[in-house]
Amino acid sequence: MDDAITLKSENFRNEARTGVIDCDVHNAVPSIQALFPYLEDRWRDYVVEHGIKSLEPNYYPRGTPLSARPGSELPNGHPPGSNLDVLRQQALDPWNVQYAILNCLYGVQMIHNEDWAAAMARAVNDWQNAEWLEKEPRLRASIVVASQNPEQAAEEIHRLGEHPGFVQVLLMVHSEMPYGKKHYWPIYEAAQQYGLPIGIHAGGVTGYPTMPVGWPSYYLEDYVSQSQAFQSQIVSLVSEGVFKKFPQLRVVLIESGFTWLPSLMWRFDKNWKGLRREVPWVNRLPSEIIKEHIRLTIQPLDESPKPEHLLETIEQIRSEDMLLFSTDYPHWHFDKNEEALPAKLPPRLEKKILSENARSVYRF
Amino acid sequence: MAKIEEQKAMETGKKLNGIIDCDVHPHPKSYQVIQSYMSEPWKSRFNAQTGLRGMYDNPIHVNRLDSVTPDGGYPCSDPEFTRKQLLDEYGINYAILLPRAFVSRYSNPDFAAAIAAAFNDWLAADWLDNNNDDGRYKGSITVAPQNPQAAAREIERWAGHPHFVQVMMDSGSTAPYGQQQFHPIYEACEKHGLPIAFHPGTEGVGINQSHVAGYPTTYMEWHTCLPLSAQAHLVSFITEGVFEKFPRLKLVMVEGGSAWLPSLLWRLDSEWKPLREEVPWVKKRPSEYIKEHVRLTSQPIESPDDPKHLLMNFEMMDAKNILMFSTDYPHWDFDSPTRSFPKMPEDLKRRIFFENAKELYNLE
Amino acid sequence: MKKHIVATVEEIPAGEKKFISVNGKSICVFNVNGEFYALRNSCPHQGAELCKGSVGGMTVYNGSSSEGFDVSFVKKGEVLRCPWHGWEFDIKTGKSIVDPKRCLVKSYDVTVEESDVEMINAQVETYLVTIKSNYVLVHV
Ligand code: FES
Repeated sequence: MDDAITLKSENFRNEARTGVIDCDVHNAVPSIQALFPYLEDRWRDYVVEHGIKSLEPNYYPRGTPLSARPGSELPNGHPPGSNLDVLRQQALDPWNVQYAILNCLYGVQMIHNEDWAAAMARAVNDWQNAEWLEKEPRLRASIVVASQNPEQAAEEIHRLGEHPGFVQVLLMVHSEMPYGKKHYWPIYEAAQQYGLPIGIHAGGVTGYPTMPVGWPSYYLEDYVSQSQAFQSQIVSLVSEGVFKKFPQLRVVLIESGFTWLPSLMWRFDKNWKGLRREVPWVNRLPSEIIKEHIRLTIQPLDESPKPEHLLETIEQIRSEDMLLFSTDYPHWHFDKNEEALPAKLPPRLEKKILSENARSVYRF
Repeated sequence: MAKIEEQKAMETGKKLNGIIDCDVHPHPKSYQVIQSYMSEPWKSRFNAQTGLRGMYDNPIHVNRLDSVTPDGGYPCSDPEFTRKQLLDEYGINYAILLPRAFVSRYSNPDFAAAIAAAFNDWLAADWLDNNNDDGRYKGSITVAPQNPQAAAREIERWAGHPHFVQVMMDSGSTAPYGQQQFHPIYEACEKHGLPIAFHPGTEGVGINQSHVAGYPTTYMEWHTCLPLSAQAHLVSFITEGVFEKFPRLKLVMVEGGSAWLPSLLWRLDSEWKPLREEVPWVKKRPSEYIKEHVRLTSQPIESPDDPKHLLMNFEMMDAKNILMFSTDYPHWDFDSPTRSFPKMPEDLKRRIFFENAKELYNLE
Repeated sequence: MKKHIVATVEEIPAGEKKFISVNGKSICVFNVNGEFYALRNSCPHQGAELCKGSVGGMTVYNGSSSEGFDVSFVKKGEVLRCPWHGWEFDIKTGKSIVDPKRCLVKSYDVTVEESDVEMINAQVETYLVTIKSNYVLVHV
C-alpha cells in the first residue's frame, strides 16, 4: 500500500519506514450480540429480555460526513471501524503504522445502572482482546471503564493492568462532575500503578448539557464545543492537585483539538498568581504542570486559512513533547493522508509527533 | 493627540489619552437604592441585605482594596470618586458602565425583569442623567433573558436615551443565546442600533447551567473557565444564523477573555465545511462574520510570558478591528491602562484603546 | 545610603504600618511581630500601591495525606497581598510567593535606634522634637 500515500516530507518518509504511532483509531462493536460471548449470563439475559439493540453512541451520527471516511462504511450495515480487515487496509497499512491505539467508543458511560455499565465495560475489553489484539500485533487498546463507579473502574484496571495489549485507560470528556474531584481518584491511582495514561476522548454521559451554557441545537455546535469540555477538565485536574497526588500520571486528550491550549495556559497562569491560596498544592505555574502531564492528539486539526498560524500556535505551546499523531480513523477530517499533519512542521518536531512523543507516554 | 481629545481637554480642563474603557462596574450605594425603584410584590421579596451570588465567591477580594470610596462606601458606588480614581487618573475619555444585577440566575422571569428594570432606573438616575455633566459615563441596559419579550419591552423603555449605548445580559444561561427563543431581544437591539453585550458571572449559579462538566470546586477553576460560556454563545450565534437574520446587529463579548478567538474560529470553520448542510443559513465561513458583527473586550488580557506571543495572537484574531480595551474597574482583576499591555505599534494601540469602541458605540 | 527617621517605635504597633515619603518615593514601614520592615509602595506587577493591600498569613502545601493534601496556614502577619490582583509578597524579603526570583518589590533596611533626633545626621522631615526616644530609621 506504499503507493497509497503521497509522502509529505523526507522525515515522514523515514518515519513511514520505521513506523508511525497512531494514537486514535476507533474499533466499533459491530452489534451487541458480538459481545454476548464475553458478557456474564445475568447481563446477557438482561440485554436480551430488555430488547436492547445497541449501545452505539450518537457521537458520530450515521450519515453525517464527519462520521465515516469515504470507503469506511460497511456493506452489511455494521458501523465503520467494526471490521478488522478494512481497518488494516485503511488505517494501518497506508501509514505503515507500528502501533495504533484503539479507542472503542461504546456507550457504557451513558448507562445509569453502575453494575450493568461495569459488566458491559468488561465485555467490551474481553471482546477487544479476543477480536482485535490477538489477531493483529500492530494494535493496542485502551481499557474501557464505566466511570460512573470509580471503584469498579479501578477493579477493571487491576484486572487488565498487566496485559501488554492494553496501554491506556479511557474516559469520556463529558462527565457527571469535573475529573479532578477526589471521587475519581481511585481510577488514577490504579492507572498510575500500571504506568497507564488516562485517555480522555470526546463524548460522554447523557443528561448533562454538552455546551457550557446548555444544549446546542445542532451537531456542528455539539462537535465544536467538545473542546470547551476538554479545557474545563484540564483546569479541574490541575487545580484539584491530581498530578501532585499521582506524579507519574499522564493524561492524553484525544480528539480535543489543541490550538486552544496557549490561550488557556495564559489565562490559567494569570489567575493562579492571584488565587493560588485556594489551591496551595498547585505550587508552580499551571502551565508547567500541563506541559509535564498532558498530551494531545492532533486530529481534528483546527486549521487557520493561514498555515503559519498553526505553526505559531505550536510555538506558543512552548513544548515539543505534547502532540501525538492521530488519524481518528474512521472519522473523517482530511481528504488526503498527508493532510493529517500540519503543513511545514519543523522536521524534528514532525518526528516527535509521529512517534517519539507517543513512545514516551505509552508502555509499548 | 487627536483633535477631539484636544478639544475635550480644553473644555474640561482634563487631559484625555484616547482611551475608552469598555467594562466598568458601577454599584449601588446600597441595595435599598435598587429596592426603592421596585414595586410590590417584588419590592419586599428583593433581598436588600445581600446581593450575593451565593457561590464561587472570590477567595481574595472581589474589588480592588483601594477602590473603597473615601467615605467608606462600596467600590464604584460614587460617580465622583470613580471619575477621579479611574477616568482622570488615566485620562479615559469614556467609561462603558455594566452594573452587575446577576438577574439571569432567578427562576421567576417576572422577578428577574423587575430587578433588571430597577437597576436601569438607578443607573440612569445616579450615573447617566446626573453626575455626568461631561458625558463620559455611558450605560448598558440590563435585561433578563428568561422572558425575551419582556426584555424587548425594557429595551424599548430606554431606547433613545442619550447615554444608554448597549443592552447587556449575563452569559450564565440555561440555553445558548443564538437560539430563536432569544431573538425578540436582538430584534429590539437591531431596531435601535444598540449592540448586545454578554458578561460572565452567573455561570452555574441559580438556574443556570454550569460552564464546565458538573460543578467546579474552586473559584479559580470557575473563573478560569468563564471564557467557555462566551465561546459557546458565539458558536451558537453563528450557527443559528443570528447575524443573517439581523444583519445590523453587533455582539460584544465582555470579560470573557479574547486569546481563544482564533482557535475557536479555526475549529468552527473546519467543522462547518463538512457539516454546513445542517445549517444552510450560515452562508459564509463562520470566521467571516466576526469583523462585521463581533467585538471582544480585552480584560483580563491573557498574559503569556513572552509578550511576542500575545502580539502574534492579536494578529491572528484581527485585534486591530475587534478588540476593545477594558479595565473591569473596580474588580480585583483590573487591567491597568498603562501596564497591562505589551508595547504595540501606535496604530494598533489606538484601535484597541479607542477607535474600535468609538465606532461601535458612535462616540466622538 | 542615608538613614531617615520615620517614626517612633510606639507609633507603629505590631501588625500596623505607616506610609512615608522619602525623596519622592512612597515607602511603607511594617511592624511584623515587633520587627520593622520597609517596602516600596509599588507593585512590580502593574504598579498598584502595593502596601495598601491586606496583611495576613498564607496557605501552603506540606505534602499529601491519605485524605488528600496536608495544608497549613503559616507566616501569620508576614504576608502582604496586593490590593489589585492579590499577588502575595513576603514582607520580610519583598519577594513574591509565586515567582520569588523574578518578581519582587524593593525592600529597605530598617533599624531601631535610641537617640536624640537632632543628634543623628539624618534627614528629619517631620520630627523636630528633640526628646530621647526609640526611633525607626529607614535606610534609603
Ligand atoms: S498590581 Fe499588584 S498584583 Fe497586580
